[in-house]
Amino acid sequence: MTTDELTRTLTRTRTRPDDAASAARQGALTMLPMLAAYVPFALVVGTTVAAHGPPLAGWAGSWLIFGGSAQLATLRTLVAAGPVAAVITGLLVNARLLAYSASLARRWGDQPRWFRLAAAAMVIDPTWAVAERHAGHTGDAGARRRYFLAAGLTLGGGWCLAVGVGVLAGSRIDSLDLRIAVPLCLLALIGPQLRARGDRLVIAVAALVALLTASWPSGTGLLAAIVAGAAAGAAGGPPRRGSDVPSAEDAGSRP
Amino acid sequence: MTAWLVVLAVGAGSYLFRVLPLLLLGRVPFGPRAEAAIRRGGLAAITALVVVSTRQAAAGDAALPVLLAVGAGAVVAARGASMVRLLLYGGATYAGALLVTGLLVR
Repeated sequence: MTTDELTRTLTRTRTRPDDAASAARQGALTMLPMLAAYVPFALVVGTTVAAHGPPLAGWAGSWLIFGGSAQLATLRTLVAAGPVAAVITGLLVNARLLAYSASLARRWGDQPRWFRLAAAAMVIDPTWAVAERHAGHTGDAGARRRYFLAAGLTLGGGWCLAVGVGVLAGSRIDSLDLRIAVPLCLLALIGPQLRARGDRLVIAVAALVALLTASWPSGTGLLAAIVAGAAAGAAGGPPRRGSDVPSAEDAGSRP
Repeated sequence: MTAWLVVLAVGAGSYLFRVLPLLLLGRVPFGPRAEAAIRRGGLAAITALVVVSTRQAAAGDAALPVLLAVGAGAVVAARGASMVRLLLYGGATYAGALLVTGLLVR
């Protein structure tokens, strides 16, 4: 069975509610191929940690910051411009998390507070993508919880381990140019949206603004692109939704 | 010590970015346009990251191979390929383009 077939099998609509173990297993198995693809990126982060200061503190960022782009930007800016600039840069790059969480908040209006507090620690590009896709396949809130937690823990554990390997390997893998892995991993997360007309406008606007603001201070161009893309999304009308997923509006009408 | 403080500060701020919308926006009623903007904000964020990371990877002599690899990756992604398959296609395109440009330069 190919990876594509496995992913489709794991995420297709089921005719009966997911049981606990099944939903968790689906989440973990859906994330595994993505984790494998993120390993080169994690190694890049790890070698950067090894090259830029205390390795333990740098590695701790893999689970405290839990964002490769922000972690890289923070470490590089710390060396180049000091701690205050590093904190500002890291937070600017990770400000995109507001967009992910705002989007998931509309999906998780029916989820308990403890889940939202716990799941928040695992919100990042690939977990946002799998949560959005899975929300279209089941309306069972418990199944969606288990699915996301399993996916998030799989990614988190594997990511931290891979960054650790990069830290330990250090300059021994510097000769490998792995930076191409980053944009390729990210492209896979938005692949299906490249075919939807309304989403293509968002992608085009966000990409154009990101290009035009490339010389802006670290993270600010990213924010401008997010705002521009979201505005294009607002102009384009509501996105196509999964038919059986309760939105925030639907959850609000329940007792 | 400084590195630890920086990592903790960015980590704490990042967690707030993640948790505050989940706690505050779940049941707030928004109009259809605002709803559409929120739903597509994540897509815009990842698109912007693709552009930023492509620029970073394309520094120096690797510009053309990176652009070809990302272009090939976009085509493959639009056809619904898995992340692993996309990495293989994109990586192969990158390696092949690097080889060709390297030979042409010589």
